Amino acid sequence: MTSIIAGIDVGNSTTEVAIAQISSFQSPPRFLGASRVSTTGIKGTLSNIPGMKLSLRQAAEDAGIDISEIDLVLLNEATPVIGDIAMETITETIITESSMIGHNPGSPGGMGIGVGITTHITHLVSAKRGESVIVVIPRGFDFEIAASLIKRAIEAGVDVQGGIVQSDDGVLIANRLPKRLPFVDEVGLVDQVPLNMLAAVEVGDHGQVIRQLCNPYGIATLFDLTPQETQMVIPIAKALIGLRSAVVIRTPAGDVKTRRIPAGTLKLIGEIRTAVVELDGGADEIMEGMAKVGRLQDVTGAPGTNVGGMVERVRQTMSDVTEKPIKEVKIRDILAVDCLVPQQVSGGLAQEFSMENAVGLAAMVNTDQLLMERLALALAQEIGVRVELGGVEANMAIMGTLTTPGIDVPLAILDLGAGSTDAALMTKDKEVQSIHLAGAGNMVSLLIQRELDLPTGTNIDVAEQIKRYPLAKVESLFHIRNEDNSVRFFDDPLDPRLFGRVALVTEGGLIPVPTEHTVERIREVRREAKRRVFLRNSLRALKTVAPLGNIRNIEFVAIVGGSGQDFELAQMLMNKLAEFGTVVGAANIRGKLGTVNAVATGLVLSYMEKQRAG
Amino acid sequence: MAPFAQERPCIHVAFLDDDDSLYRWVQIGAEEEGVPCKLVSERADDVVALAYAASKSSRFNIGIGISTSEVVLHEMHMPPEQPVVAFKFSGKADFFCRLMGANAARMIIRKPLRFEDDPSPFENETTMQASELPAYTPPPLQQATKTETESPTLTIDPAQVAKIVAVVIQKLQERGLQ
Repeated sequence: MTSIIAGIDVGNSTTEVAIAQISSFQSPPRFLGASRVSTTGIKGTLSNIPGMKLSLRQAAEDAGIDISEIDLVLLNEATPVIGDIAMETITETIITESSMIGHNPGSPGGMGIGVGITTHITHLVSAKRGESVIVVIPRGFDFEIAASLIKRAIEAGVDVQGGIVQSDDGVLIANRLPKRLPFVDEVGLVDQVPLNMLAAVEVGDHGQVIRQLCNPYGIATLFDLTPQETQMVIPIAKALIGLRSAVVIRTPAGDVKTRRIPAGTLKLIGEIRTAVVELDGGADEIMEGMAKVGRLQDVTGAPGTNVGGMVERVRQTMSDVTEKPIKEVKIRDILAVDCLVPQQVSGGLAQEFSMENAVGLAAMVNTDQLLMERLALALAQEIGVRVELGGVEANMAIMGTLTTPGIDVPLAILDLGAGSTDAALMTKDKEVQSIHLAGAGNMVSLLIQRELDLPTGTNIDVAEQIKRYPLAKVESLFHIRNEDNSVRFFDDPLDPRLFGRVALVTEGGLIPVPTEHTVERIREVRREAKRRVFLRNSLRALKTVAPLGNIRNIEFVAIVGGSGQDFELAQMLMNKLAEFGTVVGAANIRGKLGTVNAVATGLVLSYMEKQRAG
Repeated sequence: MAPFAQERPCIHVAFLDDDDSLYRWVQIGAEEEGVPCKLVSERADDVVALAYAASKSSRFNIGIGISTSEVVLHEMHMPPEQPVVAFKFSGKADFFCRLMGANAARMIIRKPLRFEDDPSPFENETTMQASELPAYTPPPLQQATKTETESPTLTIDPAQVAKIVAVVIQKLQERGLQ
């Protein structure tokens, strides 16, 4: 007898298929084809069907057969978990009266610091001799006219100290004045700058940042503030750190404050005990709490707080997907990560940003077998081929991984996917221990997106791309500098739109990154995100499956899953696990597929084994 | 080749025709980025070749060629027939010349170039409409430092004031009274 069977693995992000021909149960199967496509919809729902069909069709093409020739399709049994991610800022800066402008225009004019009364450029003529003024120049005043007006005012004895410009003409105005004065430009809402108020303008020297206005005592010195008032300007000073130019205006009722949003508490209900942790304490406190309570049974957030909303949203999403009542959705794992995200300051005049604390949360809930059974049934109807549920995902992954050349039991695998980080350990007697943890590739993308404030909602997910590809800076029309500082030359000139930009080095060529961040900053954020999610979760997962809970007792670890293809992750893991004397390597399924297709391959192999045994 | 002492590195700007009135805008664009530029005379049949010739004579290897309809940025290492960027004037010659001046400078300081379809190219005041100006009503001017007199009861349009002031300053400069 000869039959053709296909294994399908529906993951959070990709759907993978392996097709094999079986001539007898005694000889190993002959693998004909494999494929990998994006999962459609949330894992475990009927909306996965189009992706599964596409994947089957591609694998069949790869194998040179038709879908109808397949005798049996195997689906991984009840994907035990699905994950969701959320992020909330826990602090926010609000300016109730417009009293601060701080930003990094491309080219502010002049340099130094100036203090004076804000005066509209048309009022300069009525300024008194010796009066210190800060000129406010709306768009519509040509830089030459503005410069002439200021020059004449200076000659008339008015002490012009600096200026606030709406257009991008700061440099041009500053260059046309008899003395060097600071000009902050590109201030969009210049008409909202209060006039006749005391203000300070600072522009840092070339290649330097401002010093006085990002120092609370600096502001206090300039404005002659009392200690109580100085306390009020701390959020302003904080928001101005690291900028090239800034303006601070003293308005009588001016009030800037950092509001701490009540972040709330998380109640971790575990097997051993229940712990309540403050989200304010950051990710570490949450993870410590997790370690104390034992195996997690459920998590709730205090109602009416940010975290409460976050947990409920996860629960709602999961309830929608699994069609279980919301009460029955239990959160089985969470991963909390601290981060600093740029947030627009409410009430700012030039779209100022302030770095605010935030906590990212990945949560995971258990699903039941019903879902996959329903999916199998629907698929069978759709393609007219018998569909069966194969074995448990972790066992399948190990079976598949064992096709890697040079690998044998005892073996631990780390499945780094998009939605969850899974680990499984197979001992000599073929017993399998497994664990699924919240937080993986999608969480890394979220962290990168939020920390770098990347645009969302576009066709291409920039954060996802940054996660996947190394960076380079396009230094001339003919060469780029890679993130490791090596230089690569090109024979043909590059696209001028790439010039001077940070770009991703992909198979398809260079893709410009639409941000102002430097290569170093993006690289740092990217690696830090991977460290905080993948490294932390890998250690957590391995500790759970390791004999006696000690990673040292695991000798070999193979990395599988989509994130295993990451260009730097395997090395990062290897560095970390070397501390435990553990050997880590990326799997190479069937000696040619790399880290993917482990579960799909495992499904076919385990079917064979079962048939042989039964 | 001029002696070293005279050959300060500059962006070279060449015109296909005699009219070099647009040079001022290129200069402003380059000044914003802090790079000097210089008007040179090169001979060429078309504007691309002209820009290339200008780039070859520049110690920065960057040249700009301008015709009546187009402004072209060239770099010496590029293939002569392939300019770095070219903008066709679509009624806004001064805007494109300023943009190209800034781009030439940005080639040198290694900043990303700006294109007309960028979300944030700078505004050129000649393209501004009075209606786009912020609503602002300054109090009437009382000082006699200006020659024109305005009725204090009128609401003053800042754009108009700016234009009048420009004319006055120009007049003053012409008479050398400033």
